[in-house]
Amino acid sequence: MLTPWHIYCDGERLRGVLKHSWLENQIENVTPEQAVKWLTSSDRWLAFDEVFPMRIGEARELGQHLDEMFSPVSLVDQCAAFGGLDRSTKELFKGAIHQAYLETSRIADLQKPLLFAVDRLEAALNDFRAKCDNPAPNSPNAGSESWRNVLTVACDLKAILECLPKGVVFP
Amino acid sequence: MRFQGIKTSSKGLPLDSHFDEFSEWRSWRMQNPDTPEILVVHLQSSAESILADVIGPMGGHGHTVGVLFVTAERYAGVAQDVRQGLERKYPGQVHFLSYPVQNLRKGEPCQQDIRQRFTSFHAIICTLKETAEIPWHLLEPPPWPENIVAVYLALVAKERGTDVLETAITASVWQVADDQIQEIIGRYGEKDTVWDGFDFVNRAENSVKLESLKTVLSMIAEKQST
Repeated sequence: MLTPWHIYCDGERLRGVLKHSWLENQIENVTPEQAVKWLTSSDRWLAFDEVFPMRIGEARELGQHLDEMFSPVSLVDQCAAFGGLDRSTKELFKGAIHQAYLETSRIADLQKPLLFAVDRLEAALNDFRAKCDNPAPNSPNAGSESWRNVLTVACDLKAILECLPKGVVFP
Repeated sequence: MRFQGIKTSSKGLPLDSHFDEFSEWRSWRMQNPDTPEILVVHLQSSAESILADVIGPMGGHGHTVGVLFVTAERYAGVAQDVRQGLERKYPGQVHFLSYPVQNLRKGEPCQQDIRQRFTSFHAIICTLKETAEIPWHLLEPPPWPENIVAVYLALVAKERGTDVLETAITASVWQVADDQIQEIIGRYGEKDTVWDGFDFVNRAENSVKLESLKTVLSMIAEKQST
């Protein structure tokens, strides 16, 4: 996908936050032993309870609005040259650009894999919580095993985020 | 002025502790310990709480005159509305770097152009008085060329039957776009292979212009670092 100048957009912000602040800093860097200890300690794991659900929601939002979030349409209102266009012409213009971008970038092809990876990570996190909240006496390592699965699934989501463009996509 | 990592590590990690290859930063910190400072913060938590701690809601007490937020995310991962709110609240005193600085924790060398910007910035601020405006723009890459983008989008739409070339792309927009293209091509040293002899403004066919411009945008995308 063509992203000259890496022009900043909502999609790029979300991609960066999810990949770096969340997956790399708050999941990838946590060992199974740390994860189990933090979730089962009396202090609880605040990031797990408060940040992770928010990030899941943001990742889902990114997936659902992927085409809009990287669209060059946002540039039309930023270019002074188009300031004098009447409203209906501007809308036609934006529509033509957006359609060209969708066809040439094929960004929508990434939507399903992204949403699927988000669902899998959410399920893995829920499983981890369940294993820690209700540890089975005959499976003392179930929590650690479950976090290992979280790491694997998080790695898959990160791989998809790395495929996303790094700024506004040009048609 | 001098650079120094933030002291309250629970609010943000000191950049210099992760950035060993930036030996300049260590020497900056040792200079004139009583002079005003700019904090370089590897943002880990709330930018607002850091600013409230080190600058204060009324702005400018103590030695801290500015705070630069840097992470491996663009604009330190802070949403536009939050950023703009803080920039209004602390006018001229806060800056969120528009590009990511990678490998802050790994201590790997960062890109040459980023190093160059920080070096230039430091050289300038060392000469400034405390009341001077902090030249944050020196840390930033040039803005994207609006006229090239406008011409390109108009050509794309024209190809699809929506013509705004006549109404929006005036002679001066064409000319500025052409100048910007020549400057970019010259900067990348590709004049011979990409653009040599092509008269962008006067070339008649829009489809030719579009294809040529697409070539240039692809080259920019390939060569850009930030």
